[in-house]
Amino acid sequence: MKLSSNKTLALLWADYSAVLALVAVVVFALFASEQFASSRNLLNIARQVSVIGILALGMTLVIIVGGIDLSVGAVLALAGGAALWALGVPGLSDQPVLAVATGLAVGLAAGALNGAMVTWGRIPSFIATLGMLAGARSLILFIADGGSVSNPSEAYGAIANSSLLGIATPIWVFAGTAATLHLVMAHTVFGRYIYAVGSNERAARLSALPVSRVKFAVYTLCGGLAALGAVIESSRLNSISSANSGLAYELDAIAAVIIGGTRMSGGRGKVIGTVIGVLILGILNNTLNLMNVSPYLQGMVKGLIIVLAVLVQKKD
Amino acid sequence: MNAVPSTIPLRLQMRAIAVSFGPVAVLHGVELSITPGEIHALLGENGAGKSSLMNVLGGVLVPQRGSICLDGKDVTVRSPRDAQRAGIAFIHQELNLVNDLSVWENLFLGRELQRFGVRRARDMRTRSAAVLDRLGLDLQPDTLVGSLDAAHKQFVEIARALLFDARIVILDEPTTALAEHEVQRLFACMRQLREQGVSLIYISHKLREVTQVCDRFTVLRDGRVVLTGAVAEVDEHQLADAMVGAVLAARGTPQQLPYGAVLLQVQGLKAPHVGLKAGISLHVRAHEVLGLTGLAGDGRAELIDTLCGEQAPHAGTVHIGSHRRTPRNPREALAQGLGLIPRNRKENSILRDLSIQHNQSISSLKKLTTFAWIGRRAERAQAEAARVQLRIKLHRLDDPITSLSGGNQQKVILSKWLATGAPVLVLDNPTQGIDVGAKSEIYPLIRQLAQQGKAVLVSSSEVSELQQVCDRVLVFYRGQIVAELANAQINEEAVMRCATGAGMAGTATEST
Repeated sequence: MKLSSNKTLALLWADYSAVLALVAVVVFALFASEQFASSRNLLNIARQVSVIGILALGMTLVIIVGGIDLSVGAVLALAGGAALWALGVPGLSDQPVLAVATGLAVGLAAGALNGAMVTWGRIPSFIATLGMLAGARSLILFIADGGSVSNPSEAYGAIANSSLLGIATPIWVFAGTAATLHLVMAHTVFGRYIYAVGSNERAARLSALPVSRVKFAVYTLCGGLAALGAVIESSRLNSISSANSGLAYELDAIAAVIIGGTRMSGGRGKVIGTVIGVLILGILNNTLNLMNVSPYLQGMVKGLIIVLAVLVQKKD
Repeated sequence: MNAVPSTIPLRLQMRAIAVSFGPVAVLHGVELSITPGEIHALLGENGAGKSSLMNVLGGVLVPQRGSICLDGKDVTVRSPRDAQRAGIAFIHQELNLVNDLSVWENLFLGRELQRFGVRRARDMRTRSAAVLDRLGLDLQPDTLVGSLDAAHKQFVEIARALLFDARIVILDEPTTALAEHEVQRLFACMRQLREQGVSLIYISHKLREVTQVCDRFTVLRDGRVVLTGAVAEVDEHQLADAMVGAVLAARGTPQQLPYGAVLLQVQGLKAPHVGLKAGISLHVRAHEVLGLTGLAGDGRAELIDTLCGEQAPHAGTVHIGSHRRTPRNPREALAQGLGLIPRNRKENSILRDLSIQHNQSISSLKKLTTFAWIGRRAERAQAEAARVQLRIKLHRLDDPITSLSGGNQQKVILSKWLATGAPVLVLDNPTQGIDVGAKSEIYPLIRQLAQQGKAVLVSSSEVSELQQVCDRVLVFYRGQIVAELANAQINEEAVMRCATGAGMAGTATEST
């Protein structure tokens, strides 16, 4: 009996350790800085994390299905560049919908290519998406000739710079995506299949599940979400830097997913956990800034948090 | 308990051995006595406690209670090293030999004779030759172990035990991978050892072998000794009854409905790259349970992989129901109406991160959804119905599947496939690693499925199991069907004769 109650406790811990960590970080932030609790600062944090957040949501699904996607940062740069390029086509500068569609199409195509390599090509996801990372980054560098792609379209710029009910559009997009994916994971057949494939791919296949299609769809979706992040990132300044946009975003996204309690080897994890993970990282960054800690040192704090997160989640 | 005559000093006496894993007791105060120079059969079904008892003797398991007395002295065996020092050698089913080394190098592996860090090859060769000679074997110490057949590898293991003065040698189902003539050589070797005063404990399911070579026997059932005595005083049936207990009494020809249409038809199936060289043909009809049996590595597993589309055949066809296309993957197989309960539950069936309910519904979600949205209530109702119907013992349906015992896990898996409504069910080793109680619940269930009109294919190495559930049994030998046994003909002896290739002449292979 003692054994089972310990088990329950361990499960509770696995479910809520991210929440506890968030509470701890918030308490720390409240003591560290008076400005932290202001609504302006809080909304600012939410807006800052929205792009990484959207990437992390796609990453969550990929990690739960048992893989990893290292290409999201590079795909973000490529898809953002493509969207801005579409605006530059004569006569299309006032057609933001077309630009968004172009960006999303590029992201979905990159994701689909990742998915095809992993499922039908049987290439380990780490290698396949590493290839995509190099390829996509190189392509946008070539297109932009190492510089930036920009287009001062007001309509397109309004995407990231507008707000609704006092809350910036990027926050709405992040929240909406998170809510949708939460429902997908918790209530749909697709979501259930993702958990099953990540838990035991062989058993899933022998259970007559469409394993290849599920994995392909997950990588494609992740590419699409990278493009959604790209639209927000590129519309904020109407510009994409081919060398720097989205650089190392995949690491932040993976960090948020892991801090949120998703198991690296797949099969277990929650969308809501990733949202918490993203917030923890955002609040930490913000607080360190408010405390005037050197930005060069902030990476170390982040690293510490990631290792700690995995350490407390180890007992599963 | 049937005691050994008190005048003979005992080699081994295990007293009141009790072992439990958490709340589950697997040995309830078991007694075992063995005299010097005796071959003692340890019998029992899977899960009866044989392995646990031998693991206690071999130092792998430390019992909660009980004592071990060796040649009149109490010994504590807390690790395999202790066991070795006490002169107990445990020869496992999976041999511990290095194929790329010679016989003598294997014999001394890890215990090389050496002087100043240099191994004394000549001494080791000489001693190896002496031991092999003692066993009456024509084996050269310099032969590469990889070039030996299965029986000779066994001999090398036994020789290794002798080399270090083992007084008790435990043989765990040593004949599973051996052909008949190899079995006879092994027996000769065992008798040789007996002459030299070594005691042997022989674990086996094969009663005919036991009556051939053993002196005394002990039968375990559900962790208790149910019968012990001299082999000469009993026959195979008495032993079988003791092993199976009440389950055997419940046997008997099941009420038979007339067979229906052929629901699974396999014709000329070949997959030479996995050992299915001869074309395999078989069929299963509605209301029928067809058994497949044979030795390990006889091609049954590969056949089943081909049936469900996991493995592509080289030639031949698999037709399910009225479909005329060989399935290319398990998904297509299910779409055509074939459900597979795979072997090795842990690797092939269990989704260990998912709850009991989610494991139960995973293959039938399509029936429970509207627009890809899973109906919570419908899913719960299906799982609840399965729990009641199969009498699955569980705390809550939302608990992880891993919280269940093996037998209950297997019931969940079975119910998962029943929920798909597939008319053809293939069960590959369905009672692997589950206890006797759960087994006795699964057997009638399989019969019930056939009565409902399903075509059932059961692959198993346990003849007693096939006897209870099958209408017909096909025996495999080296990738082909060598015999078909109908209801009354299914018995251990007939199956073993065919499965070792001895019964190939005079038995008809199935042709449809």
